[in-house]
Amino acid sequence: MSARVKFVNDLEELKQYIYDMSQLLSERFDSLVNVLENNDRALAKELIERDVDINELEVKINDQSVSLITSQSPVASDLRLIISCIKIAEDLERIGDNISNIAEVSRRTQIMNKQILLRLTTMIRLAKLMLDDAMVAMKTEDLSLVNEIIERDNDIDQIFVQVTMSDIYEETDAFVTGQIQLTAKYLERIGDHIENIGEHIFFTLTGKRYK
Amino acid sequence: MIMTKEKTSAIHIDNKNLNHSPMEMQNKEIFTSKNFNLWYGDNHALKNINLSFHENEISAIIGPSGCGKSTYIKSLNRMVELVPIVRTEGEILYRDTNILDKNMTVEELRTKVGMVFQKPNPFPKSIYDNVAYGPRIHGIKDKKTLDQVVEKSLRQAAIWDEVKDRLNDNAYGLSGGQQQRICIARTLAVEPDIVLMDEPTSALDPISTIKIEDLMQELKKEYSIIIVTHNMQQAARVSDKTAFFYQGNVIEYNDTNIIFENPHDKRTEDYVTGRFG
Repeated sequence: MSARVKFVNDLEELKQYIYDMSQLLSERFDSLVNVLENNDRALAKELIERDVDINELEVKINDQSVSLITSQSPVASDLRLIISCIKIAEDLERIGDNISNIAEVSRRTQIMNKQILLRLTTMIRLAKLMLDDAMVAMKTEDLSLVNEIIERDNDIDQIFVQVTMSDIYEETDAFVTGQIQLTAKYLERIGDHIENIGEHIFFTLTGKRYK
Repeated sequence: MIMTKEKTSAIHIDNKNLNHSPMEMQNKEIFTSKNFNLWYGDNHALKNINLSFHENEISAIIGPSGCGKSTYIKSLNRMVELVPIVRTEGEILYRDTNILDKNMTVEELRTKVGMVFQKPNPFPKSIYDNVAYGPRIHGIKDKKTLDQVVEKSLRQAAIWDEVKDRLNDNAYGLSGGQQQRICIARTLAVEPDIVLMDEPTSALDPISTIKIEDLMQELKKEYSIIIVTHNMQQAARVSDKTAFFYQGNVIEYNDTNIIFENPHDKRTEDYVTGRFG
């Protein structure tokens, strides 16, 4: 269809900002695994400093959304997409904050316990896969994939419970224990944000709230 | 554009089934079309229209040019009969009476079904005489009664305060927005049941448009309003229900928020999002 060419292009651009933001975060998940496994404090510092890139993209998405609402009076699926982009951008920005928080933890302490480290890095990898798949679902408008992503947050939650509730890891240092629990909590929150993103995509595609 | 993949629930009207809508808590039906068809000569302009309008509601009719929406609204007060080559089939029930029945006179019908047009069309008379015109035709001669009717109608049309000191001035001296409200007052003066509005604000500036829209919200407490509009934002702002016409068919008729937030038919979605080429 040829109508509203500029508007359609602007909506595509808006979506592209979301994909760009997710791509940056996806790369940061990889870096975060490196930070934890190799105690790479320089990389941790870089992650913290580069959080500003994520924040700038969120501002860009918000500005573009406000401009489109003002100038184009969007309705129906167009309006849902714009509102969802604003909300997805907020969740992505919060994921970025949590990655920075974990990087901060890594600068304060080194997690030596292999079992715990394995679980934390598994949480990061699961989150990365969830986010990557969420973007695939958004691009391909794949509702069944959206449903699956939302369910997959349970996997991250289960590991979170293992890390925080289990007494099999005999960590004697209270400070390190606290930092481990913080890290696990940040990752659990990241999972929740990606679940939210799945719900926003569900709303965009169906016009209904995910239940 | 992201399209829902769940668009399966059939609010789409097949023009056969009257109980097509999931709308609940309906007010009493005031106008009902049953298998209504209309031809201009060989041109089949309205095809099997089945629609119900309800008391104290504003219903909007939207659709691209030539979709039949003006033809349809003009059928509701039989103005469409002014076109000599028009032929109709089916029924349009106004409170259980078929208005297409030859026993129904247009005078009787138009007393109950008032109409406001796209361009303000006051008579070249004073403001007072414009509004008093209908009641006088209906035989009201008593000056005091007429004064009351004129004041009440002008108040209902939210223009009394602007014209009360110059009721004997010619209505042509008013602004377009004021003239349109005089026309609304003139319509209300004969105490209709329903007010039809065919693009009532398309010739008006934004402030006058907002005044008319506010007025519609007031009027629906006492009247039922059916409005044809090209302005989809207006339909979204003012109406309770919206019917989407396309190529002489009713594609979708539903609560206005559904039509503009999550329509069930892809053609409605494409139209309200401006994707029609």
